[in-house]
Amino acid sequence: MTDYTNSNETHCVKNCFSCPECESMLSIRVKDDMVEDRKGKKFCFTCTFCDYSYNSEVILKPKSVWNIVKDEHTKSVKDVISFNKAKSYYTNLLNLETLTDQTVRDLKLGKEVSSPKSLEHLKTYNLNIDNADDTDKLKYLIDHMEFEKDEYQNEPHQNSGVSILQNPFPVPRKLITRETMKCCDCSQVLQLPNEEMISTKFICKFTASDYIPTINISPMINHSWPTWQKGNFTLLVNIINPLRSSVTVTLSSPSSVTTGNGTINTTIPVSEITIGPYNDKDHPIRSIPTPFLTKSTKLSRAEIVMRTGRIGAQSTNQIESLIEKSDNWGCLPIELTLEDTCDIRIPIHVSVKTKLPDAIKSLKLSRPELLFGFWTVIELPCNRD
Amino acid sequence: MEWIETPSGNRISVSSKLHNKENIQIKGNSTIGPGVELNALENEVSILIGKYCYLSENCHITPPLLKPGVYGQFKMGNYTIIGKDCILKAAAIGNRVVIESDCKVDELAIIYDCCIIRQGTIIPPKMIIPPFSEVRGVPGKNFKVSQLGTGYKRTIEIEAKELQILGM
Repeated sequence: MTDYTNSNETHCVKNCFSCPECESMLSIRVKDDMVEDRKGKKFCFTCTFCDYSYNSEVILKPKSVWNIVKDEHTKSVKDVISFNKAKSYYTNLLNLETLTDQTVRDLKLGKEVSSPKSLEHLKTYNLNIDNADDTDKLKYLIDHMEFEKDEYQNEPHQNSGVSILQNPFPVPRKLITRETMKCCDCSQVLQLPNEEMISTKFICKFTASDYIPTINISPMINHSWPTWQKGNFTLLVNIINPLRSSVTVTLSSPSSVTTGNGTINTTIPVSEITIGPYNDKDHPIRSIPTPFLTKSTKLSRAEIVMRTGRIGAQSTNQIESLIEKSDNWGCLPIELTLEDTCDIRIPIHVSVKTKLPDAIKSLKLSRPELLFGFWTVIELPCNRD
Repeated sequence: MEWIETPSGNRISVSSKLHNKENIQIKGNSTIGPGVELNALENEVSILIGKYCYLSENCHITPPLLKPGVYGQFKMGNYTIIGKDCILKAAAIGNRVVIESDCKVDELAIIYDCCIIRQGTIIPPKMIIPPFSEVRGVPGKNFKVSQLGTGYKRTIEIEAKELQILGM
């Protein structure tokens, strides 16, 4: 949801303005006022969060609030330009008036000056003279200043109501929009929002999180996190399948990983598991791996009792007792051997194989199945608080 | 910690304070944590909470003040998670919104669907947060609204369901 043109011209056509100081919304009130014995309206902008406020001039002809602010801003910019011209004129004039040497007097009388020494002297007064041949430039400067003076005197400040030092102007709220995304290579639409204005639904959406299994690490069931000291530890890698088809997941990791504090040896005794499909009609608790169940709620407690009983009945040996899978999730053990106390940081490669989901099948690709892999990093700090 | 569980699956902490509870509507499967204060009005339904909402400890929810003495309705969509010690006076909070701890949502602000409000954020009065936004900071200091990926829609929904099932 971003401004699609990144320009200041796309703004809300209604009365949505934000504070130039804190970006909060401005509340707008209208007051009746008089100017030159004529009735008009005055708009008062007040920030809802900070102390910012802004009062418009008295408006005699009806126009939109956006146009009122825009016109006053334009007038203010003209005033600032005019002010800067006057300031520059008087600064230069002061510099010249303080030059009492013969050079300036000669210049003002129209005499040609060629002495480099005099020009060097003029440079100390910040006049723009680059070299000894620029005497014409100086003459032009003096003439130009006279012109500016005339211009300034002919155009006095007509908009005395607008102060140059006034608060910054209210900022109209920029428009936001929804984005359609396409593949850079084949122009396949990857994300197409619904036509309804404030809907968050999508006609077409290819998001990685809808396809990539979620990988989590946990201690063994009914165990708490160990303290990472020298020794052997067994943890569980929990894999949750988001797809509506079963997936075969294969895990692999380097046999030893060196971290800042020491070396960690890793073993994945059973590296492959086939996990069933996700079914959104099932109760959500069926999608939660057993190690994450808590004893805080009745439902969770009952589920723990049921699942641990089932594991006990099914297991035949120690490793098998650690492997668990249900509807759309599965757990695989990972064994760590630490040589010293250290933060654990282990890269694991996950390769996934499944049949093509319907959304991808409709693209009529030649591939018979979806096969991809990705790296994930298990990070477990030494002190888990 | 003691809880009251309703037939519709709501879990309400005994230590929460529900003022004018007959004017509070909770759809179902929502959790009202300990110390939460819901200040509904006397005469009309003024606080509406969707399904699978999770209100953590010490949240305060008050309907927004429209003008002196007149209050509006506070509406919260489905799958919305509110962190600890939040103060909410918003007009509406959409579906699948996460508000992290210590946030303040001021009068009549509207947060649309699929937004994440980061810890300690202050949302000023009447501010409108568009869908799929991540908001952080305090106005005038470091307030920032940035775009949030569309993948969060599903992630937040799953998180809200898990919180309801697993508790704290």
